Amino acid sequence: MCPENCNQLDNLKTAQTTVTDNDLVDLCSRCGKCRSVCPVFTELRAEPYVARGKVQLYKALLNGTLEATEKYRELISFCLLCGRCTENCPNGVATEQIVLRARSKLVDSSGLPFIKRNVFQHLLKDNGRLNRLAGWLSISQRWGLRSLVRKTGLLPSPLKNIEQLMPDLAAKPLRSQLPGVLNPPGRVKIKVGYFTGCLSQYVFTATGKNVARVLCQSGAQVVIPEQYCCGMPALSAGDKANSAALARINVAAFQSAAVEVLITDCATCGSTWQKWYPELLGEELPFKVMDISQFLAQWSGLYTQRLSGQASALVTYHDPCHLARHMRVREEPRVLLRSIPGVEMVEMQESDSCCGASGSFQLEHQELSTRIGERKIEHILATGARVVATGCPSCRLQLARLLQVRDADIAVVHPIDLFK
Amino acid sequence: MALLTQLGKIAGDHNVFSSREERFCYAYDGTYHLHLPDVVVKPQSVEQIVKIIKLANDSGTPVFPRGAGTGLSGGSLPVRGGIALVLTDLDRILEIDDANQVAVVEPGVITGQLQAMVEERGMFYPPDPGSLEVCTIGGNIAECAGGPRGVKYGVTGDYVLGLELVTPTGDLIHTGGKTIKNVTGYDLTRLMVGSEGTLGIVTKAILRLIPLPKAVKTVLAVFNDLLQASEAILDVFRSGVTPATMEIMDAEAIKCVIEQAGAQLPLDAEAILLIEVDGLPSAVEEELAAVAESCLRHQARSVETAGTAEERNLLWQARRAISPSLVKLKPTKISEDATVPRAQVPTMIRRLQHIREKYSLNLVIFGHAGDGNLHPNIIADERDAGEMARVEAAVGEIFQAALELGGTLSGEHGIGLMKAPYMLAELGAPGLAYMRRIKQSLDPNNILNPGKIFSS
Repeated sequence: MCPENCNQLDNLKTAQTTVTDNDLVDLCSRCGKCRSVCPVFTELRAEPYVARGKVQLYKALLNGTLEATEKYRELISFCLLCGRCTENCPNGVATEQIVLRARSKLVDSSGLPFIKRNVFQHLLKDNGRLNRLAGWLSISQRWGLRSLVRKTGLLPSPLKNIEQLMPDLAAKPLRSQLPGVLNPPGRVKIKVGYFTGCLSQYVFTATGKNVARVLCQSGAQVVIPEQYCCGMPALSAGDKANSAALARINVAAFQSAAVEVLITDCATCGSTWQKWYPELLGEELPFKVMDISQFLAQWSGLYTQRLSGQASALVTYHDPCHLARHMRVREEPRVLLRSIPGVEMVEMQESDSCCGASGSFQLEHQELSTRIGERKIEHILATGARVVATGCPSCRLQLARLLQVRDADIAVVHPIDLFK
Repeated sequence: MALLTQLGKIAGDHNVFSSREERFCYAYDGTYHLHLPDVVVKPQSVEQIVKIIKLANDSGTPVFPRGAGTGLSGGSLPVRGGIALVLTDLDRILEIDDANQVAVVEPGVITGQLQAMVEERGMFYPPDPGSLEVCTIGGNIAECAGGPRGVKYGVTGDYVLGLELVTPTGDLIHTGGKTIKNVTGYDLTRLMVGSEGTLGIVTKAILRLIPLPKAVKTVLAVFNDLLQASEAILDVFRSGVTPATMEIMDAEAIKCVIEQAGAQLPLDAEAILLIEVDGLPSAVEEELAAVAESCLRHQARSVETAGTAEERNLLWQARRAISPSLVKLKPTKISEDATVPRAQVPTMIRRLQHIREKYSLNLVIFGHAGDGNLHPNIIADERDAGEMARVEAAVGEIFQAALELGGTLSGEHGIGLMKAPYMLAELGAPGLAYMRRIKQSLDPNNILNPGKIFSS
């Protein structure tokens, strides 16, 4: 069960931010430059879907020109939170922050939809329930229930969308397969915490094991305490209270383990820690947060000689939005990949454009998400690479799904998976 | 609403927006004004536009043509409700004719994308408004957009050879053609350029292209004294060089973009000139030397040449970032483009500085000094009534100064909504009446973009 009393959310100290909503929206000069980079606008080609439109919508809500109607809610949902507009904005207008605040305000005024409310409130903060659910789903997938369901078309369409996007789950969660503390072969050079994230925990357990192993090899003592979802699904839906609760539990877990650095292998988890936790909690984190590739490139420049990997493939790298733009990690994964004997790197066009997955965005806007992803797939196919590496399991699922639809024989991996 | 149903039948329901929230996203442009349209329509073909205009005439509904919504004079704002007609879906480049060096495009084509495409083929479409990554050719024609290259290469109007357009009463006509010379009747092409969508809706444009210059060099000259910088500008032309661009930034503008430009811009300078020369490589070297000499003759404290494409790009990013980044000072930006003959630039700058002090406003001076097209930008807060009153008085004085110096209200942004009250001062009553009669005879029902150019 949740180690804190999660029901007393009202008393929770959420972000005491000094930047007001008006400060954020007033920075937009309405120049419209975001129209040249927004992936949603590129597909839908109408002003309500571009960053400028959403910023102006929220501004109008703040000054009372517009009300929080269903249409408003729908338009505010059309944002991938990819950050490309901010990067290209002459004023650095923080569209993601604005959209998150807009969504949070909606939840404050009219609450969350039934399913989301229950998932965020009762599932994400309860590892026991999550484990049982994942176990049951994994068994049902292996017993062929999935193909049965697909053939018979039994599910109503909203559930069908979820079922189609549901990855194959591992038989056993990652953390149940690893000890709480892993020691390096030699002297302990640094003590790191490994935040597994839900996808390494339940789907890509092999990647998770690789991360733990490589960290040990690099001389780190790896601590893997009891931990919970990073909270981004709740935050992006506007549920600030539950995401702040998860932030507090997670920070406490790693703080009591006295880690020097927290390592993530998921771009989204990493950026949630780095970018949103301080805002949610109203204070700086007590330790550094680093992506695994960043840690290895910076610490082990260092240990890469010993990290002898092997592969023989043409590899291209997809920059996850949360890694490239939030965590500013672009070079490190490439450095690592290039250091592996046999790997030849080839760059795709627009390697840092969004793949369209963006968490629950793909559930709400599946067709649009696929269209955005299709552009990415074209860029990947144009490289002739046999392997796509990417530092985000959510991107990984999207790319693998779309490549499979194309019958393309291209493996999608986390860079760390190429270190054998 | 019957109009909605009919528009849906013409353009398809999914191309008609009627919710207040969606309409709100077409209530603004690059200015700070807001005017909500009654309905937004995105036509998919010329035939649909013809039908919409006929329907508008029948029902007496005003139509406000619109491109990317980046205008700086309020030209596309739906000031009387009605239909916001969004032309961005007509965005095909129909033809690039290498032999005749022309491009035939639809109005929704993005200026920067057209440029990239013709440059790949060794040709050049010079007009370069600050918003070129997103603005459309249709909007550029409507406002006769310019840009830094205006000083050597002219403005949008200098590149429009012919048009296809839907008239205010719903006829489809064409003007001009692919030839450079054409004196068959009135020059309707020139009349349409800069008419701000009040006389017709451009559905196709034939654009003149020129050969792409083989070499470009950029000079950054830093001055401790703003007036010395303006003298240097005149000196460059006197020395026989027509630079491709000749941009000036004053100290306030420099401060605003220092973040974007990194260490390349000194914080304590009073003015910076960004000068570009282009052409054949040997000529470019010679002109570069002449430009540097002119700057040094007028006490430039440093003259640097941007050696690589990257450095050039960085300097230009900084220049383009000035206008939008000003709202970091205060939220409301009033961007003017009063233009004077080049020789009057030093006097105009003096007058602007005087106005800045007189009304104690944040007035930032930058712009295309080589063609006298300065951009005095006033940064204010629209919630501060006292300040806004001072802004209004200052704007009036800026226009007065420009006119007294033999200049004009607008060099490249258009009159739109914001400068309409000042038209009389420049044109006089008979001149304004002459223009008004053209509008009245072509648009008897006053359907197309009413409330613009002429104040009501």
